[in-house]
Amino acid sequence: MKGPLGFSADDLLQETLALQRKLAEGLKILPGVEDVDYGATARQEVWRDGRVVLYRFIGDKPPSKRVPLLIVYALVNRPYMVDLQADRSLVRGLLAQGEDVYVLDWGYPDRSGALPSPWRTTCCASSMARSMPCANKPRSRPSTCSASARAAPSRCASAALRPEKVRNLVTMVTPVDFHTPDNMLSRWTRTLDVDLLVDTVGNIPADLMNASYLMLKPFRLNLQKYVGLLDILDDKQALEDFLRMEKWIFDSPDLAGEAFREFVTQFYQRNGLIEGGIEIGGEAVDLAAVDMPVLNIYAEQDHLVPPAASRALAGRTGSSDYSELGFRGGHIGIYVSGRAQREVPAAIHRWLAGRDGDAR
Amino acid sequence: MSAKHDDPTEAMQAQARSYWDAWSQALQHGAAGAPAPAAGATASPDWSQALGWWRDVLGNTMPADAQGPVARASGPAADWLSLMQDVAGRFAGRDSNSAEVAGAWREAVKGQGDGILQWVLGSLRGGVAGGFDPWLQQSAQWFQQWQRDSAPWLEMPALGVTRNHQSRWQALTRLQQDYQARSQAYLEQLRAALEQAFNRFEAKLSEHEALGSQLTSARAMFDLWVEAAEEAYAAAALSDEFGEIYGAFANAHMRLRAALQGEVEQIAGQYGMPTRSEMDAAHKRIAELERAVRRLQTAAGVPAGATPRRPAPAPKQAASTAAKKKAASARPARKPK
Repeated sequence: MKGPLGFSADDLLQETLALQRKLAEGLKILPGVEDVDYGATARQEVWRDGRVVLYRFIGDKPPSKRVPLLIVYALVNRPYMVDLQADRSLVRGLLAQGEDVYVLDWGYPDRSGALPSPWRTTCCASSMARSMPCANKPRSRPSTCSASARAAPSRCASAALRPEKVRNLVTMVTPVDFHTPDNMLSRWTRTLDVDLLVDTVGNIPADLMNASYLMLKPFRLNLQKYVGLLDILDDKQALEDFLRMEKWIFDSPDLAGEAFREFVTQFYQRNGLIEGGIEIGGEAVDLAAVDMPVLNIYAEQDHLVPPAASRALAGRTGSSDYSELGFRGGHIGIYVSGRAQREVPAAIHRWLAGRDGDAR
Repeated sequence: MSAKHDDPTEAMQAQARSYWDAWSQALQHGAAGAPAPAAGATASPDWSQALGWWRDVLGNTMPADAQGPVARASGPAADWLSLMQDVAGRFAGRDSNSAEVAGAWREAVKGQGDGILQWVLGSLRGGVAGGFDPWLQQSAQWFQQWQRDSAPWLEMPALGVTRNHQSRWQALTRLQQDYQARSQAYLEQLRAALEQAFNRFEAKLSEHEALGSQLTSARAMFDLWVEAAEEAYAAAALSDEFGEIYGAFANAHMRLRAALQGEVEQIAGQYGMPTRSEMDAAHKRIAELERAVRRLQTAAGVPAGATPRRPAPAPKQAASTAAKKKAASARPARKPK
């Protein structure tokens, strides 16, 4: 046969029969799949302020590190991404390395107006730090790991405002330059009337946020992904993994309106970390004040935060100890892929190991 | 009815066998050398229909967490895959060229009208059935009818005792018209991106014309199409023009929504019901009170949000029962219903 297609009618028949077998298996396996659960590691609530909760995770052995590691998760989506299941858990990997891991959960905001904002991030971080063992001792200030795009810029800003509260800073998939040419979300938000949006809807509905993310790659995320589901209908474990991930993706809190207003205006529209002019709670933010050691981890195939947006952090902090790590994967794969389990916790642990003993 | 037929699984399997047999026979007939159907004819069974049937058979037997993904797999995804399978069937076993295949694909997609883009339209309206503002879509027809019926009155200067109401409704009508126009402009951007995707698809197909690099399945064609479509879409979506139109659409949406919310408040007020604004004002006062309490607690030396430390859970047990209990206690808070 000449041309781009090299299959016969019989090949198509075989393809159809293969799909038939998958669907038939799906008829047997899907009814036996239980509603998926998440959260693989035991944890303990150590601090709470309204809906915002700080958890300490409990490993199979006591932590060998004295300096606690605080993971500040995003305001969008739920933090159990970092502890999705036993074999896909950043938390578990860090605990296995001997880290003392804490995770901040922002909860689900309501319209009460007591809404998290970057400013509250700073306040919360200061307040809850008192709940961490030894965190009030100068040598044991926590290392902070900012996980995901919606937490990390704010966390950078918080670290700039309160550098004395943070021993080491690890940023993961963190946009710093919001105006790189390949940043689709940034393009879309430039002409958005943010005040009109927030004043009209209050908190930003999770469905609206998710729809925006799906429109970043509409054919892959709305079509191809679900065709891929047909491929794994004969594999119960793979099905459960798929459903668990799907549950996480769409288990999204509405985004606190005031946080959205501040974040989009200052970071997406004004590109304030690069151009300057960010104020949080009336205080000017200057990345040069981030003088603690910084490890900046970015994902090389990130469709939400282009690598160039993250790597812009280099040379913009006041730290004399700045490192970068490029992860071969995407924005979500950096947490849940098999490669991530092998590489990310070990890389963070190695980097921290040389820095936790330094007196500051 | 026999016990055998009381078993829904067996009935389901019998139905499955019957369906698949018919399906396989249809394709075997084609494989046996039947002439290729003419362009536009269906060469193979309808995968979309089959997947729809499969979903119906599954019904409520699957867990709630699977319902959404299965609906998506057997809905829009199946529609596109089925369409590609149909096109693949037309060219199976014969010579072709990239332009011919891409042309057939373009024709097949366009033959579906905007129906095949419903999942995109749903996404841009908010990603849920009917969109983020389903009532906005549902009310569009009513709005148009109302505008037709009231056209002269809506164009007249607002006067007299109903002046303010009339003026507000006139503004609402203009906002609705603006929203329709902006959403059409946005849709045109998506259609233009789709058009570019067909060109890219043809170019990508041409890269597979050499022997040894040919596509060997309908699924491979589908994956290549997705790759082409994403590239074309990204090129469009990163343009300044797209950004302007997207922003204008979102802003028009919010202006209309705000005006409609205002109308709802008017009606609620007339019936003595609490309004969104009143609720927000109350929420704000509560939030201010909470902050005041926190400040007082801080001044009094009470750490805000401090909770008593609880003992750590028992070490992890190998026994499955203990592990299950532990997992349950460790489970993150669920979304409030």
